[in-house]
Amino acid sequence: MKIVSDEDLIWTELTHHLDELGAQYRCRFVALPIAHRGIATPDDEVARICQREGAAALLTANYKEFAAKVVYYQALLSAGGSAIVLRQPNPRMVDPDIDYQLALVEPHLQRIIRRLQRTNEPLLFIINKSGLRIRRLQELIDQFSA
Amino acid sequence: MKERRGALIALGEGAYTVPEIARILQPNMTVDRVRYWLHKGLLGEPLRWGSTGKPHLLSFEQLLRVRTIQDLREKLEFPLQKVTPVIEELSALVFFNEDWHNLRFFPTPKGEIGVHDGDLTYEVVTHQLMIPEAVLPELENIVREARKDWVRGEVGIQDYPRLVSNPRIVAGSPTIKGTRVETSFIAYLAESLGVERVLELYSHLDREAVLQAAKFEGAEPLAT
Repeated sequence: MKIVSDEDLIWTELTHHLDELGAQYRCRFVALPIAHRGIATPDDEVARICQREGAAALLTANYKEFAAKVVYYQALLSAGGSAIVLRQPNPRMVDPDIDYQLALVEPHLQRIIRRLQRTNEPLLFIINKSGLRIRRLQELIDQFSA
Repeated sequence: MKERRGALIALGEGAYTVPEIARILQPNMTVDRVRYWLHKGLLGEPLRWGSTGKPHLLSFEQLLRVRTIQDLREKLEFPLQKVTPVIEELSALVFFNEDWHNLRFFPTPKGEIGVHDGDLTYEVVTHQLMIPEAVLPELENIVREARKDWVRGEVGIQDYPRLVSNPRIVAGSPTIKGTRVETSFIAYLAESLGVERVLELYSHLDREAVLQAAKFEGAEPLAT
């Protein structure tokens, strides 16, 4: 299994540590390839890259306006991919460097990988310091429609 | 079993909150103004009307429409009552007319917006035929700028040449130009970790882009 880090989290050291953590569950972490410097990879192309790479999910971060961002995650899931979102805390509370991001992911990694292995259904995994929430596409759609 | 409905947008389409539009169109745009125009019907139906805890969501076309209204009001001093009846038709001409290149825009003697489509000259709001008049370059520039950004699918942010909003990149969230890196996240990191650390983490970003993102987001980078 493979998980692709979006450009916001392509930190080499983070990817390396996540890859080491994932190895025990046979999960590789790779950074989204930047094909052309200076040309941003469009969202639909990111989804195609994930499919082409056989990636089970896209790893990304969120700091602001999560309620509005759900519409983007909804579109990602609709295109057939899963996403893992690391929600970032108040910068005055913690230092959100690599150790923090790793500490955020590590307790939940096994559960995420097992869940991804068991299903082909696109899922949204939301991780914050309180824990992990798993949302299905239909739940996100209902959230917006209600 | 619940009826299955589709996602609100497809990948590649943008979705903008009111505060996000105000931020992208700074310094003169405000949340209250966008909200007022939305409720007055100047922007058409949003992708979704908001409610408690759920923001209104608007499209990229509506973002450009807000900027066009803003420009008509501020640069050409069209009063809102002159803009209101014309904006729907004007948007249709600017964004969806295939004969765009033949169109010329001008203000009429009554202070309305007129258009010459290469064949006929008429007032946009009433479709009343008119005698062709001199094209006002500023009005032309406003609508051509909107058309250019619509075709390019990207809008720049005034005073921040390294930042853009592109509906195909992270659904239109403001990003550093040429990347998928959101200004909000980079500013957050700069505030928490300092610019030097951000530049270590993102070897493909440069200092100026990071500083612009921080300033745009109102963040104060950590001194290191």
